[in-house]
Amino acid sequence: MIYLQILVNSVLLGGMYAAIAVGFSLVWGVMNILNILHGTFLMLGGYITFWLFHLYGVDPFLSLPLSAVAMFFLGYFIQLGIINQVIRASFFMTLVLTFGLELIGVKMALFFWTGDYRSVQTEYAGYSFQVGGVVIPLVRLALFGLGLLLTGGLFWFMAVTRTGRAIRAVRIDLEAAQLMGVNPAKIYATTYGISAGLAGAAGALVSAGFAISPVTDVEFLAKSFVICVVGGLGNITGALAGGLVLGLVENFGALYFGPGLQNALGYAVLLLVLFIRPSGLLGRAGYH
Amino acid sequence: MRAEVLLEGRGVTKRFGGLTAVSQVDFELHRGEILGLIGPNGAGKTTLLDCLTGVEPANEGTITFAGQSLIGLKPHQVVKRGIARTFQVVQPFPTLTVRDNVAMGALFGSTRAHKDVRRAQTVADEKLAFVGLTNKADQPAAQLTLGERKRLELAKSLATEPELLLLDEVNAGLNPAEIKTAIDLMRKIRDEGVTLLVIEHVMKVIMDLSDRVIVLHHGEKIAQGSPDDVTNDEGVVRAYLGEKYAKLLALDR
Amino acid sequence: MFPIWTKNQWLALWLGIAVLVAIPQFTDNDGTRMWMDILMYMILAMSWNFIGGLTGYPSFATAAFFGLGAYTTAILMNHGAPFLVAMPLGGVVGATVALLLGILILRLRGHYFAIATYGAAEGLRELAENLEITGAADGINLPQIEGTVDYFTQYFYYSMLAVAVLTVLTVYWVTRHRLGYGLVAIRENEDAAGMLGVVATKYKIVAFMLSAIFPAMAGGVYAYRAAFVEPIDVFDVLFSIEAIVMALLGGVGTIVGPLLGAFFLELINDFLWSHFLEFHTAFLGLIMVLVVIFTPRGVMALVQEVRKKGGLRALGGILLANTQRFKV
Repeated sequence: MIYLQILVNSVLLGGMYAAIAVGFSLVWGVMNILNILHGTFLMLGGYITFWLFHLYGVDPFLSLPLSAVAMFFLGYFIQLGIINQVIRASFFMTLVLTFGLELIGVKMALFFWTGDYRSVQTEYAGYSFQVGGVVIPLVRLALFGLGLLLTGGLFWFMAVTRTGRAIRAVRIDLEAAQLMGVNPAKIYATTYGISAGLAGAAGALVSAGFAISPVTDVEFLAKSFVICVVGGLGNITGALAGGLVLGLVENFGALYFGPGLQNALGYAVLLLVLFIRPSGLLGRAGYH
Repeated sequence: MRAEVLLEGRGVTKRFGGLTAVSQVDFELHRGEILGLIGPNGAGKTTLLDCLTGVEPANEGTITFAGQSLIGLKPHQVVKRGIARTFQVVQPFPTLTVRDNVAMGALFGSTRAHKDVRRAQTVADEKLAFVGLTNKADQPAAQLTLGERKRLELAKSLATEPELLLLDEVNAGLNPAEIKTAIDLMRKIRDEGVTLLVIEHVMKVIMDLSDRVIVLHHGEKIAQGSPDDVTNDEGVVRAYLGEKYAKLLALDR
Repeated sequence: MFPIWTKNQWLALWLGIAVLVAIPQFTDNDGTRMWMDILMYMILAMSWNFIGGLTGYPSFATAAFFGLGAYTTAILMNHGAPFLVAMPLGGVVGATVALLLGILILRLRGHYFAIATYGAAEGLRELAENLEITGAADGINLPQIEGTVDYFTQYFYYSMLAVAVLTVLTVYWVTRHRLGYGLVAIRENEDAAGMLGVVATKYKIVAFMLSAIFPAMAGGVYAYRAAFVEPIDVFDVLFSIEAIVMALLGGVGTIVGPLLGAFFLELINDFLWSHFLEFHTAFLGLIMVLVVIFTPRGVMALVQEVRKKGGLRALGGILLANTQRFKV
């Protein structure tokens, strides 16, 4: 029974993890940037949700779009104003750049909000129901559902909308896309904004079910690493598979090795997968 | 009497998934000769070189060089056996000077590797003089023109002191004057005692230069022989120009 | 490729070392401690340069090796080993882990390599936080050094200096020999390097081990000096970041760049620590952003270019040109 329960917990967690990583994967895939700021957007999105709830009592699931939109614009302008300046430099330079921005962001967050862990305590936080002896917490189920919705939404967007197609075109052949009248500066900014917005929304999810702090930023960045490496870049099944694997590893790892080692196990899986398949478990499939 | 066989391939086959890029190709190369390797685009010429040099290991067949098998060797091992290669798309070390580019070949590729950096640079200067790039020795490789880069590529390969040199379209993209320089260079290299296997698109080069020619088409060897024999071969004409022209040519005769 | 050292440069090197040897005689203990920190970061930056600068594999594992050295020294000394045995053994442990880790991950390129080194470093920290032998998250104490404050300040200073000199001499040796040329060939074009006979796997592993051994020894000195190690301190990813930023600031892949970068950034750090303690990492982040945008090839290259183009008046133009180079 306990195994079934843990399995269910892992699956529920995996849906949310997919949403956490999918934006990170988007920026990596389209712009070849290892975006260290991803965790920062997530953390900021979480704080928006937290403060709106704490100060005005806004339900986290209602403020989620707000977190997403705010982070979209922040991301859009960071890309337009800063990252676009060096986008054609080596990936190492953009990595150092986003790392620098991350240090600034986290320091500011620590200064304003301290390092305390905060969480949104809604009235329904403790609700749960049972299916065949397995306990399903309501919030976790909502996080799972919304996580899938966000992940799926991105792929719908990429496949169907004009902007989504332009992003894919830029990724496949920049020069050809420019000849077709696509402005890469704007497309990059939009892509980065979408990624940041997804991170903001995922941050809202995290704050609704877990505790957040400025230092959680790195934790979720690391989770994005693991999920992307396990799942491969830029495909929906990959993000879901990666999220699910990480959920399983963390939950079963906690069962067998104690909760302290669950992050270390995540890294172990990361190294193992990279050793077996140097370009991720499912390889690069692209947004097709 | 023919010179000894330096390089010999039997039944060399390379598949990528469902595509057979090189299929059951037999060939031999005699010491001191220049062998031309021609064929339409996508015929498998470069893939065959990849098989020889260990870049893309062959799925089937045997390849022996000076009596020893090359099967299973990595590129860095093949070069130490005395086989050097240039690439169709030149691959210089962009930020290093031209001299250092060539010194790399002497430092690592040579069978009697020059472990001393200064000695390697002396060798590099010799090779640069040989290909006529002495005046560019101190420039970063990225600043060279395409023609110069091709000669740099030659100098790098020569610095490994090869017995056999594989040249993958050294003349592609060059103007007639540059091509003439390149042909003279290849002759000079052969006169130094190096055996050459040359992939070439420019027919005139092949006709002028090669002792023998092998023609690949769809990964298979469809003809071999002297340059004249091969250009008069109906199968070869068909492969290059299509059925219609082959018939016209046959009528002509 | 690397400039052959002129007599003057050799003289400058030995003069520099002589000055560093003399420093404790001319400054107080605080000054000595500051110089010791500068030396430590020089070690980290020069070591990172082996793998990140010369070979072109951006590693985030500096902190991992630093922590490994610190813990090895701590544990061995608690079992009675003298410092001068424990600290070099820390270097050996660092290099051994680099060897094993290198076999595992040096096949990876680009992002995947960066992520793997980061994961390995963070994984080691998590491990140290949970194992008994490392005292878990509480950390472990080391035997206190005996003697006066003057004595042990100088003792630690000279230990660090010894490691730093060892690092510089290794840098010199590597850049004068085949090894350095092989590493740079890998950075410039790994496939082409292989075609010329460079055994890339072997060379990369050697570079990775070189990037590990000296930080591990520096970690040993750091641990003995603090008389206490804890995971969150000695496995701090900021050690990796600072090493990288220092190398970038001075000039990645050059010989003196990391030395100068470490010197200047540590001076800036020292100033920030004393005036804006709280915002220290934010300033570090700001420096990273500015360096990447305005002087991606490092301050040394900038100075050279300013000289060539006729003095400080050209500076603005050069900085502006740098910002245009990698735009969309």
